Amino acid sequence: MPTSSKNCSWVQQCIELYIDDELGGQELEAFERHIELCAICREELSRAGRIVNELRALPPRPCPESVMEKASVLAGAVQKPATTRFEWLRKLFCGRVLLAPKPVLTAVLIVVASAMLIVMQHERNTNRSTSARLVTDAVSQGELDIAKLDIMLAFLYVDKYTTRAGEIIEQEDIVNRMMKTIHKSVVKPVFSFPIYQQEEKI
Amino acid sequence: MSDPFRKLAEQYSGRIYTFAYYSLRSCEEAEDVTQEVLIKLWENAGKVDPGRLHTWVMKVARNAVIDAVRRRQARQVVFADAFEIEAAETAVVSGQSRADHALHTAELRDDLEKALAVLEDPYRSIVIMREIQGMTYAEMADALELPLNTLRVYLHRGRKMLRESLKGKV
Repeated sequence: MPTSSKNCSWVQQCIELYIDDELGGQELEAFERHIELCAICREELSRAGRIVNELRALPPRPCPESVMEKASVLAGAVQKPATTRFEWLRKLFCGRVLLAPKPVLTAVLIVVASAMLIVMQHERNTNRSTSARLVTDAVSQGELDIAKLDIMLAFLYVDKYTTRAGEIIEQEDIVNRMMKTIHKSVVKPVFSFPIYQQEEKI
Repeated sequence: MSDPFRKLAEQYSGRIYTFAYYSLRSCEEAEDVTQEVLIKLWENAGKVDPGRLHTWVMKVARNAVIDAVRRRQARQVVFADAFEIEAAETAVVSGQSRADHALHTAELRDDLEKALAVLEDPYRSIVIMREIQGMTYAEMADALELPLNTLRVYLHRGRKMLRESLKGKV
């Protein structure tokens, strides 16, 4: 237990704890007993207390208006992008982009959209068979790729293969022949899709 | 000016400016720091957890102050000259006005602000956040990324350093 005569350094180390009310029990008693008797430590405690009081009395500083103004101008240059993908559409109808009155703007947009639909329909009719063929091609090509992969996996460990007719074929040829068979049996029916036939007639 | 920006700026500018002012003891530098932090706040407000925005702002403010101190150190010679002149002027004034208690208090406050501004970080940040801005230990721990016990020790050490540097004045 510290005594009042020997422990000035201990007391001075405890000053901040005492100010923050973090001393308790026997330590608090010893501290207060020492402070009563020791003028030097009492003076030090008084100084410490005054500094803390002055610190706590320092007023908050109001930010000058000009700083917020300047920051807002600079922040304007890095303003957040539109929050949604269709933000531009909302702005368009709010008149931020186009200054025309809303009913007029809407009518113009409807006319433009209708014209675009008519043109698109015409284009579609002209190229219908071509588009359809492209679609069937894409589907059949995907199926062919999968079939090819399956065959390659199935014959992965087969170097040579003897056909029923006794013909010996290499691994690469196996895949090619199988693919030809698939073309004959699968692709043909796909290509006989009515739209494709329509093109053939043309 | 956009309203959301204004709202954010009004909410946080005072805290940032107070922290920066007492850290740097220069209105001009505090203004620069506040401006920088406000822009960062505007850019990142949506990315930060709203519950931690206050401590995030203080963390960014502290980093901005540290950068400002570094910039100041780069032009140390000029600043030291200005500081010496100011100190000499203060000494003359203080000799004439000891009797006036109000002025003495203002002078003490001035000395305290100077001592605070030359305190090293993190002691300076901790003393300002705790004693002037009244932040809790938990908020400070989040802003400064320090354990609570370390914060307590640093706060006491910082105040002791202030006491040492104000010997003969307080």
